[in-house]
Amino acid sequence: MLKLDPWNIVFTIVNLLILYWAMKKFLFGPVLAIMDKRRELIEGQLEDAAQKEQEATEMKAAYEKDLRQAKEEAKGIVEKAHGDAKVEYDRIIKEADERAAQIIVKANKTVELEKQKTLQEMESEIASIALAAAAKIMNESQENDQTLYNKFIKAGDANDTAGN
Amino acid sequence: MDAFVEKLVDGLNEELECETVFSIPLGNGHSIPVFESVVVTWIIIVALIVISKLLVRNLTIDHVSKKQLALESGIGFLRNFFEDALGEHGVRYMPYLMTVILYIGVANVIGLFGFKPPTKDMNVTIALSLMSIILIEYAGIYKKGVKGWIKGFAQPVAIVAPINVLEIFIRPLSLCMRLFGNVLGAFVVMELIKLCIPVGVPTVFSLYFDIFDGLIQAYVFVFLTSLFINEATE
Amino acid sequence: MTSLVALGAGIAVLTGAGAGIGIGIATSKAVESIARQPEASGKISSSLLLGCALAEATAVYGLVVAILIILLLK
Repeated sequence: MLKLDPWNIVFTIVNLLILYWAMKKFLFGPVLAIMDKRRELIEGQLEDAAQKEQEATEMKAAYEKDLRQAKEEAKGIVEKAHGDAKVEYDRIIKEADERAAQIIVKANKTVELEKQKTLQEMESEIASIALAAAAKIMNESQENDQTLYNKFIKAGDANDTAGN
Repeated sequence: MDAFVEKLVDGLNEELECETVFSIPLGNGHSIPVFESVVVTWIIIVALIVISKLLVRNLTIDHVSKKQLALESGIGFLRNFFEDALGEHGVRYMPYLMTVILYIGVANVIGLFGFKPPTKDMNVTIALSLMSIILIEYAGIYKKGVKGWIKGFAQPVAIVAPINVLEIFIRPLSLCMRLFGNVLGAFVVMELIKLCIPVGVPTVFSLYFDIFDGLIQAYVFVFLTSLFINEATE
Repeated sequence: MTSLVALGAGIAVLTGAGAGIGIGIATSKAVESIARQPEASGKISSSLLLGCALAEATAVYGLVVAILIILLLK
């Protein structure tokens, strides 16, 4: 124990250096390398995951924006459609009103025309009837036929006005 | 009583004597003796290399086997410990300190396998502490440059420079004597216990003195060295 | 002569008293600080271990000197 020997100190130092080299090459090197590699892998995966999450968030935001836009657009379209429909509705109603008014006017006209025509027909018929009657009467008494005829016409007129 | 002391002293002497395993003849009549501690160190080196080779086989990043898990947690523990103790500038000396803790740890408990612990030979502890002080000063020079290293002796005030220079010799001496003394002390106490009660009791104490104390001394040695390196590189 | 050697070895081993007192003080302070700050127990333990190793060194030196005295002067 107390035999100090420089040679043995040198031997031990050389031994230590050999052991250092060997341990570095065979034990610590590979193990630390693999631990570092795993750590890098995990860090890479975490980074990847974070990146993916960020991407997803961005995509979600974009989708939400799109959705909001689409909703607004749809709302606009619906509103526009409502407006259009209202205009159309008003137009149709107006047109229908006009048409109805026209129809009524036309109908009135027709009725009027018909009435007049009927009236004229009736007048002519009455005239003919009256003529016939007059002829008949003339056959009976020819003296006051003109007077009678006028009388009859007047009576018919009065009747007609009352009937209307 | 005298017989007991004689027996103890003889036993201690025999155990403490560094046997010369063989000698390398130099040719001019002198020869270099090779001590037992050096030979046991060779055995330790071979054993450590073989064990490392066996452990490091088939390392994978995923599908970690139990063996690899144990290996990695062990090395990871050492790495955390040294990263804490060495500081950021000293991390490059980590593999050497890991080697030293492994070597001293194995050397202190190799007595269980029937070899004489190399750390019980003062030549080995002197070599270890020489390496430590060389590494400490090298780390200081590497970090600060020669000028900064020399200026570092005058810190914090110039008057303590002699003490700082003295520390270069005191530190390795203290490291060397602590390791040697602890191993020797544990050994002597164990021998005394074995002389008094040869059966049963020594096993229990052997757990403390051979295994626990040996590993603690390995820890303390590298812990102090790494603290000194940390201090030198700050 | 033998008794003088034994006496010298015994006196050398007295260094253990200093180490014992030092380690005792260090441990008591460490226990106090762990009680005060249980979360810092890891750092406290490692500092304590370092302090104990340094304090213990004196006892070990005493032991080495005692053994040297016995072995060299017997």
